[in-house]
Amino acid sequence: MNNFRSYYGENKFDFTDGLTLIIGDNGDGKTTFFDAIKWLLDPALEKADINFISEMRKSELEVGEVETVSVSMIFDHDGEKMIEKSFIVERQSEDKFITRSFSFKGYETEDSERFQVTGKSLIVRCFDSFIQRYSMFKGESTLNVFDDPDALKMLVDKLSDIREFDEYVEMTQEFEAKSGTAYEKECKNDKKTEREAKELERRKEDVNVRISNIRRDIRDTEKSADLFTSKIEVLEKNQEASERYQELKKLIESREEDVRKLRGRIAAQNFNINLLDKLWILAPFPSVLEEFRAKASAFSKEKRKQNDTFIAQKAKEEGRKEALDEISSLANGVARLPWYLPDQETMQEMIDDEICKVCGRPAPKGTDAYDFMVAKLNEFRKHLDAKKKAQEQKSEEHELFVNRYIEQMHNLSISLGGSKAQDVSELAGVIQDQLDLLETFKRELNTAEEKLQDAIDDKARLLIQVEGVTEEQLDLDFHNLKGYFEQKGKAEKKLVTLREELTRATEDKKEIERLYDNLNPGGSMAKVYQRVHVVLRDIAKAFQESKELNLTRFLNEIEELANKYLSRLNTGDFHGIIRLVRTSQDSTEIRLLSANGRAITDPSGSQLTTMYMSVLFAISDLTSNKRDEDYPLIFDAPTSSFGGMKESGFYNIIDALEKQCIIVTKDFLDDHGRIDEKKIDQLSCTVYRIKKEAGFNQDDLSTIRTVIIPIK
Amino acid sequence: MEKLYDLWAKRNPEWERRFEDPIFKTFADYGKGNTSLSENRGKVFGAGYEVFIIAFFIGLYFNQTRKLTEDKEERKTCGQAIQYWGNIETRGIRQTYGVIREYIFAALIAKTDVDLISLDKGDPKVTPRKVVDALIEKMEEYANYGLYYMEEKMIDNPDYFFRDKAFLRTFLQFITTEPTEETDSSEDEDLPEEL
Repeated sequence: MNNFRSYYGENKFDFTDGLTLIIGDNGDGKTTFFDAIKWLLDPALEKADINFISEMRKSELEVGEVETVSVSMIFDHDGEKMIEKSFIVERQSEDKFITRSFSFKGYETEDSERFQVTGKSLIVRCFDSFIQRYSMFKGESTLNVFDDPDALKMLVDKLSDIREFDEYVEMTQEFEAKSGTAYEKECKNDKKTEREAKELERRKEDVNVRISNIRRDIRDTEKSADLFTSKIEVLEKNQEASERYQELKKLIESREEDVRKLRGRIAAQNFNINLLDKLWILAPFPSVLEEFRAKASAFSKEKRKQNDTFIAQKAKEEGRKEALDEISSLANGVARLPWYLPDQETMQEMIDDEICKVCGRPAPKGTDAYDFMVAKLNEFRKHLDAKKKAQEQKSEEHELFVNRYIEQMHNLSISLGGSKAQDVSELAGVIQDQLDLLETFKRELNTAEEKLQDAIDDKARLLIQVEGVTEEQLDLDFHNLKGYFEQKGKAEKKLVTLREELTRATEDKKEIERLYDNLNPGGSMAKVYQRVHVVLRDIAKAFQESKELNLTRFLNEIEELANKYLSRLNTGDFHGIIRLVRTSQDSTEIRLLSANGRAITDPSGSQLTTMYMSVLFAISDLTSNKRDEDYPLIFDAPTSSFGGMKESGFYNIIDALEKQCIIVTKDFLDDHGRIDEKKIDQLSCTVYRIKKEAGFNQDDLSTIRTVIIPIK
Repeated sequence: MEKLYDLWAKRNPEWERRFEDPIFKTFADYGKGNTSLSENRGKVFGAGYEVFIIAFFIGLYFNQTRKLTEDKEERKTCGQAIQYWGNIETRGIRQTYGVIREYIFAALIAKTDVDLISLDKGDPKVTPRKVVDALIEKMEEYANYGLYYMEEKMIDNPDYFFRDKAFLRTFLQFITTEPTEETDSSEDEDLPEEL
């Protein structure tokens, strides 16, 4: 393969006589390998396809540069032969590529001389489409070759001598018909039988029309019965799977809901926004708050202290001034009583009693002494008023602090204390709790996602197990089943009636024939015709029966060979018996029966695959016998429904068959794409590992290149 | 007599214009007013002042200030006076958090060298305006330090603050460095380094 898709540059595989295994993971180039061979061998494909060139090579091409894409094969078929398909790709501009010079060539060697022929003629001669059809299989589902209603006919045509017998069958049938017509004609012309013969002819025409009508009705009714049967079969066969599917579907839905909820909860934890909205930003704030409160408190204390000192000092100052006032009011240097002695009541009493109670002398009204006492009382009153005024003035004018900003701070400090301070100090814990909660959610999400994936995987496995059944079919409503049964029942009832009618019509026809046979014509020629016709009818019947017998023998032969392979492919395991059952329309179905003759209704994927492969091996054997030629069988991923144990046994047996097989598979690889060397060691066949060259970019096709590593 | 807090709250602190594109417009819908739609636009915060608050607290908790450029042309304001900060529309996913203003104010009083005694005495050298000026300057300098811190982190790793919980982690370091904490959680490795 040269520059064919992921096979960059020149790539070569050597196929040995027995098994060649090509092991690769998804995307490693397995199907490309298969497609390359299909392209090469299909004589109908005589065109270049720009999509076939390696993207890597394509991306390297300079404008004006050309590259060849080709697939070729050397094989042995009545001497060494080679075929090659190729074309040229040219880059015309940055984004324009064209293809040209497509060629499909063949080479033959004769007497050590090599000469060229057309590829098409060589393939048609050596590996025609019939052989290809029974030789190349892509995936497990293509293995059932009898899915095609014409398959049996083709096999019979190609692989048996039954066909040659057909001429005789036709010939004898024609003889019978002709002799019958001749005899009937004679009878009509015979005077003795004329009337009866005409009547019989009319009845015969009638019964023939009836029979053909009934047969048509039977065919139609059989078709619709088959249709409902297959619908019911799909439903029934997959009932369990379908119920499981419904369960899984519900499970997946509910787990998706779990995941959605948890994702929502996690998304709702907006930690950056919580810094502000939930004041989480204040978590480290307690020390700052403490600092503020200490400062506010210190200011407040300082203010009060200063104020107290100020008031005390002022009070002191005022006291001193008062004393000074009193001292300075002395007139003659003699110490006199302060203005407040005697007090107001004493003074009033002395005036009322007209006696000075300080010196004990009387002081009647009109005396100097009396006037002195009155003056003294007035002075006292004046003092009191002045003192009151002064006190009022002092409180208004001589405050140390004129603003109350510190009190504002103190109030703020108080308001931020108490429960608020408690809240702030608890924030760190709150955040930690939320982070823990988030971790819990994340763990729960992980678990939920794992569970969801499990359910999705289960569903995927289920779909693999019921290969050939689509998800839509599994999703079908089982309420349909009742309707299908009813319609099938109707069709079956009708069939019974039709068959009875057919039997009656056939009897009638036989009766007419008998009546013909029993006519007793007068003419001697008519008598001869009568006897010739009876003999020719018996001969035709004998040939018809032999034809049926041949077909049965042929199928038995395939069956016998296939069952040998089946038991080898399933050594030590239950495998059942293959039966090729002829169905109404001259086609065949492969069925797996258990020893008691009962059908195995729900064979496993690997049972089915080995069954189909056994039939294929049998057909291949017959081909070899009949044509004296051997053809390789090429399978792309035939064992996808096998379990690990089953698959290695399977390969061991194929390995031991003397049959050229090429199997492309991802078996023998573990989840990490590593090859299971122990299992490979058990095989004696040729093994290749294909893989993408390391360093590719998974989004860029032009970085992908398949490399071929011979393992053994 | 107007309260000192109210005088302060009427002001609108400044920050260096150089942070407008790399930080304010990156993390907030700066210039689009008070909005609760930030989540829809893939921004971490709403109004520009939210970035300022974050930066302020970074500076505050590191207890580091940085003087702003003298060039008035190279400075910008948040678009809204402090008194409106945190008054988020409560519909949508955001909540109002105006109370944060009192804590910012308290922090500024705690950290700024103001002579409140002289202020209360009515000393003409210490007017309320001058005190508020000092508070605002302190506030701007803390925030300026925080903005430089954020810028530096983003130069090292442009996605630094876009990582899960990045802003919260920035603040958690101020709690987890306390000696009483002995949790050896794996997140510690991811904590921003101290400057």
